[in-house]
Amino acid sequence: MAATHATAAANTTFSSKCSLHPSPSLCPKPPINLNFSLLFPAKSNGPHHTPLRITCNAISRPHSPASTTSSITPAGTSDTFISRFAVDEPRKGSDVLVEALEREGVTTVFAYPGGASMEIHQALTRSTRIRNVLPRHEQGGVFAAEGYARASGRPGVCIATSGPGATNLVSGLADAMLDSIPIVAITGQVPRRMIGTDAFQETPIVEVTRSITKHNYLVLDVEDIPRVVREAFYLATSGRPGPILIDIPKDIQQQLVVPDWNQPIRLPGYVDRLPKLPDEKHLEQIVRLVSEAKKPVLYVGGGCLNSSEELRRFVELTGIPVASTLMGLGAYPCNDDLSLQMLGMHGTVYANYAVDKCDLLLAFGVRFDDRVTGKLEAFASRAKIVHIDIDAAEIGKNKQPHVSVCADMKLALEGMNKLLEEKGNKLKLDFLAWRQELQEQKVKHPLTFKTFGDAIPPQYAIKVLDELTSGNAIISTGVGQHQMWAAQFYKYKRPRQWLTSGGLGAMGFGLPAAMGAVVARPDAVVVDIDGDGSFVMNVQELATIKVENLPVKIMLLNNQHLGMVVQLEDRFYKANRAHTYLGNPSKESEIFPNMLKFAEACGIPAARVTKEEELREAIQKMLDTPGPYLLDVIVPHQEHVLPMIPSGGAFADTINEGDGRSQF
Amino acid sequence: MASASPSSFKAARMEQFPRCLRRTPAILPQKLNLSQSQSWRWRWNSSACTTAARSNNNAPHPSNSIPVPVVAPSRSASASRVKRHTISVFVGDESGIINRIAGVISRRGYNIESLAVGLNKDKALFTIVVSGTEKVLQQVVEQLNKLVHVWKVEDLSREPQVERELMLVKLHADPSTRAEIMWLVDIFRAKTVDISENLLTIEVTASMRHLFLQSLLL
Repeated sequence: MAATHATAAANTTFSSKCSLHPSPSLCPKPPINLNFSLLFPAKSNGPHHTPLRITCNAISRPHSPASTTSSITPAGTSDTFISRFAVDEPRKGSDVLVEALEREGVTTVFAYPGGASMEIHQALTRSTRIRNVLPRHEQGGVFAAEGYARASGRPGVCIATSGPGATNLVSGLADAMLDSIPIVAITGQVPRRMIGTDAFQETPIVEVTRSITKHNYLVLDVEDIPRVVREAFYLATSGRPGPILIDIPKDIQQQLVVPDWNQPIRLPGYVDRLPKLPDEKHLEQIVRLVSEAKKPVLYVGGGCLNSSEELRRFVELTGIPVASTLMGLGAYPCNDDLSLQMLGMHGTVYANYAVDKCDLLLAFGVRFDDRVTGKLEAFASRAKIVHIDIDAAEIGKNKQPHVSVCADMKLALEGMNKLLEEKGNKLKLDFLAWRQELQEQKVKHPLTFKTFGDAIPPQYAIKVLDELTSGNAIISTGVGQHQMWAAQFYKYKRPRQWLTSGGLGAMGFGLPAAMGAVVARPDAVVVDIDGDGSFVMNVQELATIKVENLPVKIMLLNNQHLGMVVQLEDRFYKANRAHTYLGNPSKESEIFPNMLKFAEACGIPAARVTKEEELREAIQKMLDTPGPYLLDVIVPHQEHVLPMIPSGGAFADTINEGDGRSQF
Repeated sequence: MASASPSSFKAARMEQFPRCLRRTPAILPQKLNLSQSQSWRWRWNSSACTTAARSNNNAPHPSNSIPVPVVAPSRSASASRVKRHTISVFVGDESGIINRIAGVISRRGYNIESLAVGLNKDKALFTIVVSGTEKVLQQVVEQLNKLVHVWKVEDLSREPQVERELMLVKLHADPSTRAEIMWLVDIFRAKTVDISENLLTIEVTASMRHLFLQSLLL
């Protein structure tokens, strides 16, 4: 095992066991400072970054600022970080924690105070570098941290107190786990001597979140805090990113200590197991398969969000059409000719057709989720499957690939692009016939919607939004029909524009995530396309966006029903309404609840629009008004998301017709 | 339950696979000689050979320098047979590591048949018996590999191994029956470890326990 606890001064012969990108100018030199290829490049604003000092044998390489590999440490050493405290000054554990966060380059946290985390909040007030955006519910805080992470690529940080505060984080952590979003959640805990005694506001949150976090910590020694925070950020961002929880008891937060900032992280097995550079031979083989295929399709997902440029180059070199999953929307621009948009249960007919008929499926950064594959045996049944993913456990989990590579997508694509450029003309890749076949399908089965009278079709509302924002806005959604329409009808041009709860499908995600996105990208236009069901789940965050002056535009597609469930009821349960009407049954003609009053209660300007001809103007007004804005768009509830492949179905079972107005 | 790989056992097919492979199962070094008919499925599928070996669409075989093994027809049958697998997990110690490992396995819906842990200061070695198909086992190993504090995961069922089960039996034995019991104990090469007025404690190892137990119960 390469994992030995070598100190920084060790100058031994190294073996290249750790994950790194060997550059031509390799030279072993002490101290062991490593730049790791990470999925989430940290383009942070802070000038103070500590390089990761990791205890394992490795070849060190010089810092390469803004190189092709994504590195978490730009040029900057721990010496340049100027602490508020003198070197020998003892300070509280909470101050150590806050300084550790500052050293990781954190500039914003989403923290909600409580008895067990008060010390941390007090320390935050003493910090000049970290700003706290106070949510009104811990779930809003963790979703906001997710929105921040999804929009920027940097890890989001949220803080909650013990007991109920910590348990309110559970949905957000599960969501981050399923969608592989880097989050560091910090929770307070009762003092160490009271752990296990059913104390006031005590929950064993480490036990509770064990299977929904990538890793979690219960800090039992105040000296561990710098190392644990460093490890947490490293784990959250390296390999397959995920949520990390740090549980800190109150007495440790209050204990005085002189911290040691130079503690190396102790993750020898993990570091060794990080994926290495993809092997040339495998990439060559994939390129060879591409050249032999007649009908290849690219199936890209969340794993490609950091390699959008390389993916574009790959498509340029090969001319292979691209079908994207819900998480991967934007990795390849949706308005391009070669984009088949979304595939899967509510994906376009031509994307599912392409995957069904293809003879080579290039699965890049995906996990063959059941929403995409439907019936596994029938999915891509005629194709050779090439699967590239950073997580070895995903390869072969659902669908057995013929060729697989466990590597970072960026590096794999770079390697393949290089091979393609070298071979270039010799390969003669020509998929024109295949592309034409797909173009026919695009013309035969486009995404459509019908208009009834002057009622606003929700799909049309999203299209208008797309036009008026030129496809450049950051869109966050709740979960349901509006989410699917936002995925289908808004053409995303770049990655990290589309924020949605994919794997978990957590309602109430839209508004807090938009909040986090605004904090991460203050210059961008952020629109929350929400449904009336999802909106009220985290409606309290309206207070936050007003107070913090976060210009979140909320476009609420209000159909008074729980749309997606209504659709399933219409199709499969003979339209028997089972608790899916969200309005007031005694006054059905009125819009209930009156969303405008929610906005008024928080001092946010709002408007309602019911007629199609007034829509464009209303949306324009929403975009033009500075600050937060709520637009209540009343839409009919009989609309169905089409096309639809029922759960567990195959491409042949695609439903492309009908809505709530007809009988099934 | 203890397992060990005796060196005297005839070299099993798995000894062909170098140790370093197990950490990154999806990538196989090119020098591997896959002429054995029964390879581990989880490396199999990710190897370059797989394209050639598993192509059943009459697609042209890509020319590569890796020798193409013959796919044993019984492989898919054995792949879906439920077997008991022994996994050894070497971890760096932390509080709650047992919970973590048990949690990972149960979260995926698999069942632990037995678990033995050996602790040493700051490291621990788990020997877990899981029953399931090859696919189940592969998933279990991969999921265990994802745990941060795990250093190494190995499937011991493939290797030549020695297994022992040890059973301690406490029997009610008054003087009238004691002689007979001790005679049985002698036959089965068990050992009497404790004796008192009307109690007898017997230690049995190896796999003869079935017969012994039955006779004891009489």
